[in-house]
Amino acid sequence: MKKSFLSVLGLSLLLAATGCDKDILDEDPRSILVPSFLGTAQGIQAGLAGVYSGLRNTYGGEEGLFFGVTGTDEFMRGIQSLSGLDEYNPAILTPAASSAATNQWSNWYRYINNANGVLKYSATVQGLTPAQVKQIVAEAKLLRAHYYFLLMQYYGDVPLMLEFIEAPTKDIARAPVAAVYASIIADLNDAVANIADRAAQPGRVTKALALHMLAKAHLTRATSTARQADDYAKAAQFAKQLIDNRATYGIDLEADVADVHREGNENGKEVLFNIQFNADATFTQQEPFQFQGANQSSFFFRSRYDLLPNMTRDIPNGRPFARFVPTPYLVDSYILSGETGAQLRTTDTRYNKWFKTVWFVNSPGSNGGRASAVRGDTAAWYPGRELPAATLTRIANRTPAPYRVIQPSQYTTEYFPVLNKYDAVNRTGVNNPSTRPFIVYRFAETYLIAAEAFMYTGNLPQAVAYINTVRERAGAVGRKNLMTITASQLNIDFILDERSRELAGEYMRWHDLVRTGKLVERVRAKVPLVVNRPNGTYGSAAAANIRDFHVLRPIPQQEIDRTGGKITQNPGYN
Amino acid sequence: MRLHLIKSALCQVRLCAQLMAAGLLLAGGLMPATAWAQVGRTVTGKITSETGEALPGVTVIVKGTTIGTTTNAEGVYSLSLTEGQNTLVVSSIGYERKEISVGTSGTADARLTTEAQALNEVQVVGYGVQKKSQVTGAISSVNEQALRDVPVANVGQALQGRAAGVTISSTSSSPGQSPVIRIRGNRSFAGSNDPLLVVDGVPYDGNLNDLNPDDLTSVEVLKDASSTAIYGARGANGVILITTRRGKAGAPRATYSAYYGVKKPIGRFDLQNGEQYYNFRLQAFQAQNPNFNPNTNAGFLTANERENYAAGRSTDYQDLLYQNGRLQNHSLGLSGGTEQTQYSASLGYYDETGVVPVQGLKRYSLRGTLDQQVGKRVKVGLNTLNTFINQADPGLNIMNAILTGSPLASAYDANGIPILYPNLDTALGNPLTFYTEDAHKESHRRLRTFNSLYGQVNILKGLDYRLNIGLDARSENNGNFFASNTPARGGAPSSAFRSQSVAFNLLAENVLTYNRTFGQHDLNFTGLYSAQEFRTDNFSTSVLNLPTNYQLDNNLGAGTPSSAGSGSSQFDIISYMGRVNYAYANRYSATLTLRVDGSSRLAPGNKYKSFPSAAVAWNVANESFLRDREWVSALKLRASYGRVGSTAVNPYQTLGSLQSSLGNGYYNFGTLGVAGVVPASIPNPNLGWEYTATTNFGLDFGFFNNRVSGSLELYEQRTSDLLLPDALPTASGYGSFTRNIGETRNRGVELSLSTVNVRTPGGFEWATDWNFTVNREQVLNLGLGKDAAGDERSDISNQRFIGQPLYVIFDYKKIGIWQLDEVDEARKYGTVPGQIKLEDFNKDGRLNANDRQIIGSRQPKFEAGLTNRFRFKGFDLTAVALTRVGATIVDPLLFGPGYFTTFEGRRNQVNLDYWTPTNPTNAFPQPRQGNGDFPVNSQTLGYVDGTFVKVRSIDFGYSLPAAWAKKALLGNARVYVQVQNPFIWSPVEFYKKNKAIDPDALSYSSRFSNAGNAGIIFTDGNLNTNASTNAGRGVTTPATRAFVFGLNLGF
Repeated sequence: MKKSFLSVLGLSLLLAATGCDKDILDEDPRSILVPSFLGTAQGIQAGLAGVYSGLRNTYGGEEGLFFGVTGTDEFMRGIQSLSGLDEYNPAILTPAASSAATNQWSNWYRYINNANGVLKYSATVQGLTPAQVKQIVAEAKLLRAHYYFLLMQYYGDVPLMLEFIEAPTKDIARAPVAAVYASIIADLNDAVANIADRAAQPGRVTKALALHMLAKAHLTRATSTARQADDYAKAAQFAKQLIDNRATYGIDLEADVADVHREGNENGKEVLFNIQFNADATFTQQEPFQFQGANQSSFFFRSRYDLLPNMTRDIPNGRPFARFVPTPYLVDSYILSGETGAQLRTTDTRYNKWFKTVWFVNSPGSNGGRASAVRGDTAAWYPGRELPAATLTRIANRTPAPYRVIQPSQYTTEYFPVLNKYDAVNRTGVNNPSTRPFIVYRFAETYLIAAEAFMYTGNLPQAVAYINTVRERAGAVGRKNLMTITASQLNIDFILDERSRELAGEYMRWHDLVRTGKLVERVRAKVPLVVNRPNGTYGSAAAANIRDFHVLRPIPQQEIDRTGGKITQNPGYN
Repeated sequence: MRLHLIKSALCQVRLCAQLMAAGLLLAGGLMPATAWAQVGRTVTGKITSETGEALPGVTVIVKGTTIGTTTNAEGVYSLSLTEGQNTLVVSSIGYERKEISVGTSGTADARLTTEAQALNEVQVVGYGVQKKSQVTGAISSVNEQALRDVPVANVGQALQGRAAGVTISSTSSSPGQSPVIRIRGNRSFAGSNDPLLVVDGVPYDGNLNDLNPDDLTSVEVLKDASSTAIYGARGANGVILITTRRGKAGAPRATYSAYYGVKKPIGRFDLQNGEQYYNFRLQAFQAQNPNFNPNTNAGFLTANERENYAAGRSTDYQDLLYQNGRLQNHSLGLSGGTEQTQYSASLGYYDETGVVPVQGLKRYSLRGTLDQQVGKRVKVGLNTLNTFINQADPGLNIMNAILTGSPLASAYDANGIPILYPNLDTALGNPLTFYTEDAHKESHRRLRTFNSLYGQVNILKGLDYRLNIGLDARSENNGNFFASNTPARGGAPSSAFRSQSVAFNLLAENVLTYNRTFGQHDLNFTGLYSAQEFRTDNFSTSVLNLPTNYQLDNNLGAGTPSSAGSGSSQFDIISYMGRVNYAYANRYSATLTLRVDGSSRLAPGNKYKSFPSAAVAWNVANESFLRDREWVSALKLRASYGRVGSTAVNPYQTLGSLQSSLGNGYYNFGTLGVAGVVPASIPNPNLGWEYTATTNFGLDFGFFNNRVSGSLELYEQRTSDLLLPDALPTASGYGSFTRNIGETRNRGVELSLSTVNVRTPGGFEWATDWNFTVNREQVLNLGLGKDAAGDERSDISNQRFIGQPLYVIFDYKKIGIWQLDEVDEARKYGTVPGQIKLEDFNKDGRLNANDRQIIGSRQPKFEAGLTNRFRFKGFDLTAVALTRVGATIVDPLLFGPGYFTTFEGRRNQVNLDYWTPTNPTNAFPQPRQGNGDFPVNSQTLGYVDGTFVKVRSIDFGYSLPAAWAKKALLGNARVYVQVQNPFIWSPVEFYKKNKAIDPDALSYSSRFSNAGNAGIIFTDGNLNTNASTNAGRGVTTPATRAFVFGLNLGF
């Protein structure tokens, strides 16, 4: 018996002595993806899709919206603020406290690194045809340019990261805008040369987009410290190239402005670029209280209709976050001279098509309403003007029930006309995010870019023609001729006004005002100061708070801390 | 690649061979013993104690054979002897072994004397036991009696307040919460500072609730490097050795113990009632708009709220939801054996429900041990611990909903059905909706089987070989369901989730020990080779839009899939260890240890590392000059030095990774969904071990026949090559990586003292255990180089500061509230009267990042525990108390980003002394609408003093006299009543008003990240809140007080 124990012992000691430890200690991960996955045919395509996905954290999200829409002459603060961006609140719009400035910066660089990874591995990837690789490279470069264009416009000089990061580094500093522009324009030129004319799938970036962005990049550089003599000419050239070849690219203006933002038409012919969302809960955020990567755009422009008599929150009317109140300047910019009374804003149809001014009863008796109210009857009306007393009396005595009239003098942070471009009726829950793709660039803007570029190159007739194309489309049937303008009316303020009318709320007003050097001037002139009304407050402290340095956002404090000060702060934020 | 696979398969075969070796050994163990009784005479006798009391269960063996028996309840034995057998060996634990000769009378009685403890008492140490007199390391023991003093849900609770240097903080009163355990403070920034748990020799990870505390006999806390070094790479945070009950030779013994208790919230959160809320909200609106008219403005209150306000009605969800919880525990045990075979088995059932609905934990446990001597040289045994845990609602923290809803809005509609959004605000869901029929379900079910097997062979005199096999398997099944009409879904389609995971942990250890005494020299050698493999696999599926609530999460196929995932991870550790103990004359002893560990988790080239330690002890009490001094019963000096490691690196962490999930890579092109990928972590091949070197000086003492005894420890730990999560500029595409750099230090003093304060001849005894701990953490260097003044640089971006404890609060300091006469001054800082006034730390007239300062740290100035025991005849009274003094904690209720006190008028909150133009307080700011979700820098309101004194339990018991018990056919019987948490005191006014909060629970509930001013993460997650913010985090169900009645019976 002793013998058998000894043999067992021997076996165990043998095991102890054998040299297989090395193998046991080698890792063989099967559940994670390592960076070299990008070097496979599947991996590089997944990597490219990843680069697209990062844009969801900007477009449709609250931070992206506050960045692009608010603190301008178009919209002012509603019932909630974010990082003080809408009012340039000096206590919150700071390098440490502005979560929007910190998060957007981090997000954009994260996906720039993603694009750099795709570009690095494109040189060695196996299993794809050269044409496929060429297309992948072109898409990645275009998207990288898009991220840098956002970064540079918001932060000025920014680190120019063009290589995939494979070892930890803190040695990062800001590059001058000239270098960033050069990179953006080089990437876009490469894209124009290599990318497909038309998208293989909805949402893919195309040559039309590359041309549009190239025009816009040159137009923007033309007013920057990095301006080149031929920037306006180049902007005009690329915009015109896109307009002239629109049939080749399958692009055109919608005939009716009502179709431009119609739900279901997000991949329509006027759309140059959108961020994809759909109703598939696996790939699009559908949770009501999970906001990362969700398209929340339908929430923010809604006023508090749910507090009005005979109204309750429902899916078609949307989730009323009431973040953005249109300024008087914006709603009045749709008034043509000579229009009065009920005629107001009827020639330029964009106000009535893009703003919701009437609400219909969906809950008789709610919020102190009368039980006699009829579902579907008018619950509230924003007439957009002060009504005569007689009209108000008539409405108050109406049967079966009166409705609420909210005139401009009664607008507050809760009650105001609602921009309806992002309305999303096809949601499954009353608090669910939108399932609509988010439109980033559309063809109407190409005309406005072309008009601005041709104006500055001195070709006024061409500029007027482009701008009239956009204006005439918006005119009421039979009154389109009233919309046309002449060369004498054209100047940069008119173009800015026209961009407001056409592009209000489309995440680009802040850039437009910064590009044209009009941000401070217009915010001071167009944004009313706070007034206390019996039913709430109205207005914003933006005009009082804004300073010249606000043409840039604060560099996130963490970037300064983490580079030991190598990354520096923008002026005014120290 | 292919070659690699073959090799690894080969190794698996080898691991199998190792298991087979164990099997052979076990099979060998089952061969029949070769000794049997022959016909001869019978001898009987009675074994008694010194005082003449009959001793049951005493082993009586014929000398030189394995023939034997045990005494019965009357202390009587009977044995058959053959010719020539004249001597019996009588032994029993706790008594001196005695040999008696059998005369011709056929009877042989014996009187046993109590064992002289000082000499032979043994101490459980890693991989074995040592004579207590020769132990060189710093070890705190909690014995069986202390473990029995207080009925507890898990072993962590049993340790609280019991051992110097061991800090235990209960994180929540919810059933099934595991406490946080720290031994000698924090030393590592990366991940875990949790100690290593070893149960019956096998490293144990996972939930403490899987162990039935009734099954434990002792808990040893190894604190210094000398005692932990044998656990090498995993010993840096200390080691807790848990020994479970095993059978003893003797008559079969059955035990039954049970308790039943009721637990109630100690108190409530002091919420604003309807009228207070009205005034608060009005204040908020008028602060923003002085013209605001609450009567004409629809947005101020809903019609229903107006009605209730007019009628003076108020809703407090605490009334509607708090309930009494229940605790009950039943444990049935059987043990016994002969000199050859010992067995034990136990069955346990534990059931606890929470003070809010549905929360609960049920534990079923089954355990068995068997130890079998085979022949003279071989012993085999096994220990199997099996538990099934069913936990209800572990993840749903509804406190945010309970504490922030409008008290003016009706909770129920006219039909008595809870209204989802009582005041229409979708941030303020009605918590009652979770508890309507089939509205939600959450369960965690876990089956765990934890087994250790051993086979031991005595090769030569003193030389033993032992093979330990640990087999630990866990399977966990989690599921949840939320109906559309709950705040978690907010009217969106219902959701359901299931996940399943399996973890398998296999350990094989070969241990060789050599144990000899040569005259005055005691020599002990332990050698070890071990391999451990840990693998975990999991999958989960979520779906939306189920056709009926009734099915809950039981038919996921009926819903629309929203996500599915699976994962797998594995790591391996290979270890070699050698330890030598040498003692001379029971006076001088020394221990040398070397352990070499190899870990798969580190990159090639860094995998192996060795961990040495050395220790000496001088047992002064055994010196001739003290031996005869009556008043000294024990006196020993110890010193040790050694190095241990920490594997706070996750599998595959060195490789870098890409992420692919919703929000991070997933995208669609039209209807085509695409699983895109995004770089998530950066490759990091240079990662290595983190080391802790500990120097320890100890003094063990006992005076006046051990009326006063205890130990004093002084130590310094230096942790270097810190695994330091280092923030990267996000422009690099990554937010952080982990590297080995920097150094921290822990220094401390621990005093444990046991005193017998009163001992009367009449049988009254009052004894006290004291323990006192001071630990000072300090960051010494962060690898950032020196600044201009030649000092090591702090790392502000990671909130780490040279010379400070590891986790400090670095922020603005609130110094009051801006008052009406300070309008101009306030404006300079961009604010207005009524709002928070922060210190302009550098006095430059501006407030910016440079004004942040160190507010405090969660490190207490000292901690102490006190256990008092009184005995008189059969009565005993035990009270356990603890205190922690001088820490600064972050209260999640007052911390603005937690959304509990937002001063914004939108949410209800607790009563606080807030500023109004007519109440110029400096305590809390004016509620102000439009401030955003919470006032800027309102996180500064959450930093409070964490000092507390807590009487954890008072226990009053009565043991039936032996004679009575015998009449009832019992061996012994004890009944007791107990109050848990009878008393909690804090100097903070806020905690006096909000008795629902136990400051102890907040001691470790927060830690800091580097995410701006909201850089605090509360450990308690919350399904019902936005994961991207801190909303609803950290506030747990109210602290509870329990009243328990229990009994312990032995048969």
